[in-house]
Amino acid sequence: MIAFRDAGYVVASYAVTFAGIAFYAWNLMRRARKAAKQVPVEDRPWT
Amino acid sequence: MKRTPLRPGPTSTRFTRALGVATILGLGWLAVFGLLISPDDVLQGSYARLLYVHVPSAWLAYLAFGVTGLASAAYLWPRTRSLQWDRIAGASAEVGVLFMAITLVSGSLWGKVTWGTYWTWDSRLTTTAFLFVTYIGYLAVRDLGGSHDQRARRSGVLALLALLEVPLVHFSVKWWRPLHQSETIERGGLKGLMLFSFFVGMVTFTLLYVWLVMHRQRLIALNDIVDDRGLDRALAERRNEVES
Repeated sequence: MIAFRDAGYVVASYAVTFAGIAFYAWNLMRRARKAAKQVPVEDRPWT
Repeated sequence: MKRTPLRPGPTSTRFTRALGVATILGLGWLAVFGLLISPDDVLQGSYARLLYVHVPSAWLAYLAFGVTGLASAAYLWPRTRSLQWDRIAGASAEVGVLFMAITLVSGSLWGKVTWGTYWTWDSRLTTTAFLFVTYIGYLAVRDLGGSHDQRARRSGVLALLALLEVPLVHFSVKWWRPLHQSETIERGGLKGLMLFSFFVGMVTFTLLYVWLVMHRQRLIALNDIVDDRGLDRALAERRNEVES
């Protein structure tokens, strides 16, 4: 178990990593939804 | 009871959805192993837990920049030329920049507790920061405008030049003996549960990379389709003006 005195930097590092990934993924999905409104499903090569 | 099929996401398929679920499970596992279960290191104590996110982030940035270089070469090579390669290159570079930023932040937090400072101009840190700035420049060059082929050509050449920096960053710990430690894994510094946690991080981050790049390159494809339609519409309007 992680020692309390060391927790700050370790937890901050994990928080920055996970929050950074989550924010990027959320922003990616938001941009994709916005762009997809202008392109019909049948015109998307992966569908 | 009749089951309603899942509404298709704008850039998702069954495969990306399964990959996304596997990635979320892996990240959860990594957080539990890294923060709660993994044993402390003899020398670094709890701070060694930073290794499980810091090294996979750096690995992923290298991988992403390597894929950007390869995809750019595939675009520039006349026999394999396709805009699909350019989209993969652009998507991979953007994901690489994200993970390089995470590497720099987690590394500076680690530096504060082991060296007593968030930043020092040692060779590994300096070359990493330089690589980060180079790929931000690459992303800016992609947004300069022009046709899709112009974008692909100019950014493809830049990606091949930028790729030369990756070995410089990797071998900087061998060539200049900096403050940054050399390869812990190659020296056999990790064993048992620590080694297992480390590999959970590497595999999970690699799955995450594939998931992010697939979605990002599809978003670039959507934007390209929207751009082409706008251009077609403008040309048609101009033609009508000339004819009338």
